[in-house]
Amino acid sequence: MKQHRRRRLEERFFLVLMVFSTVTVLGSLFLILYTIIRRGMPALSVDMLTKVPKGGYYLGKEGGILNAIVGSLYLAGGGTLIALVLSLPIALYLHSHARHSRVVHVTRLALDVLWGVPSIVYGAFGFIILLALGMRASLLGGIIALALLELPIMTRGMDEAIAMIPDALKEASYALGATHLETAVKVILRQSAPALLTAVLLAFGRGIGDAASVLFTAGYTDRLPDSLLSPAASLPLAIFFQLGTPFPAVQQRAYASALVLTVIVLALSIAARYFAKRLTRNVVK
Amino acid sequence: MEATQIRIQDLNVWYGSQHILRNINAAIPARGITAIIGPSGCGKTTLLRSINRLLEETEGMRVSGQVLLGGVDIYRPGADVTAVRTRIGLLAPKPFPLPMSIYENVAYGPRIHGWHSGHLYEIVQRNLEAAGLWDEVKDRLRTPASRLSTGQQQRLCLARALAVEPQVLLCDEPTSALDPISAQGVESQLQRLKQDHTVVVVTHILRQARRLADNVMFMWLGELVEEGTAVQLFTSPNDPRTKAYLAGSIG
Repeated sequence: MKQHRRRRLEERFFLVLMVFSTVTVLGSLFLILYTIIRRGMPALSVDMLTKVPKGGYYLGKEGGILNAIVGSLYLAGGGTLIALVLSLPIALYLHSHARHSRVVHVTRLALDVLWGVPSIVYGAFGFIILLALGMRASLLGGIIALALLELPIMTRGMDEAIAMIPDALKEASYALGATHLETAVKVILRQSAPALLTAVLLAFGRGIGDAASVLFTAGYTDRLPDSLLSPAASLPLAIFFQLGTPFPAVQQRAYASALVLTVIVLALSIAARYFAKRLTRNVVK
Repeated sequence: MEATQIRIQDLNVWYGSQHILRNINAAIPARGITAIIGPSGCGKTTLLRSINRLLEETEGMRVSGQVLLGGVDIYRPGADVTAVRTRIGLLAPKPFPLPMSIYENVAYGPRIHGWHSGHLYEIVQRNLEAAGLWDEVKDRLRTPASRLSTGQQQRLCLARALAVEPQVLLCDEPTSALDPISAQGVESQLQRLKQDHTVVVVTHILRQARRLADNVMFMWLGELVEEGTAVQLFTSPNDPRTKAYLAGSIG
């Protein structure tokens, strides 16, 4: 009898705990959105989205954050592209050739360690490389730093996605006389395409939202980037600089910038979901 | 007796330190259906997968000995494993369509081997017909293969395997995931295919072996106990273990 009551109490306790945790997560998301919308909305204007900062912008005068919007899209877009080109072969290699060898084990470990490296370290590391190459903070430098930051996230995401594929599906391809490469390209990629897309998006989201890694490598400028070698602004840094001013009007613009950043990531997530759904069409179970 | 298509000589397989096939020597005649019977875990599937070298896709598998296809050892150094698998097709226990359309599934093999061009459609049609699936799918060749029922998927896998024109077709419990009607469909296709293919069927269903087999191999705990024609093995088995298994007192 006593035993029975204890078990029922346990059950209740864990139910309450799970509900509490879930509510905390949803609540935080809601609060973040609420804050940036409430504080950012009033400052959001067409000018904000279509103009670069004019003189005195950071004192509350005219201009917008187009430099940061364009800069961020270039930086994260470029970084994601490079990370994608490197991640996909690594992820496929981890599964198609030496699945349980030492190399694979060490590679996974290295990726996990890289995942944990703070982004400021990528920034500092990228800065040293730039100096060694005789370059200045530039769009290219930022792209490379973001590619390094995104690489482990994307590769491990793809790694997990490909790991879900049943051996029997790969064997179906091998049994028809397909090589490992043919199987990887024609079967594994198709089967895991939706999950691969998610991995790319996750990495992009991490890249576009990161301030520390682009601080030294891409720099900051009020102008639009006109070449790979000129500095580029970014939204996270725009938020940081505007929030750091003593003027409430400019601080409000920081929230508007945060809102823009959030909407970009949100829009991409929704687009990715749509495409992932279309890619699921052919996926086997 | 027909000519021998596949000769297995001193085949041993280890998985890690586990010795799972012991000194297998066997001859599989050309054409007709050879059934490999025996209880679960006796090495039937392992033996089957050694015949198209699919074993080596599993890490930790070690194979020694020879498997001669038309007199040539498929394990000889320098043998082209993709060529081996093209000549020896496989039908798996659970159908796994490739993640593409019905049409593309059948066209997959011919495409990777670079045959095809103009008459790919004919190849697809011919093989879907041979697998007895054409009439059911001819109006929706572009739909994803995953939308087919399990029974249809298994016949699609058969069509896909036939499309690379194998001489030998290995079937690993090909009806175990199917309902009796679909199973009957697959069995009757195999009966037809045996006219010009060598079909090897692994099954633990004795009734199925009796229905299908022209030749039978009986395995027990990693050993090939006895092989012979279906008539001989089912009516007058030599080994006491075969007798006991057929009588239902072991396995």
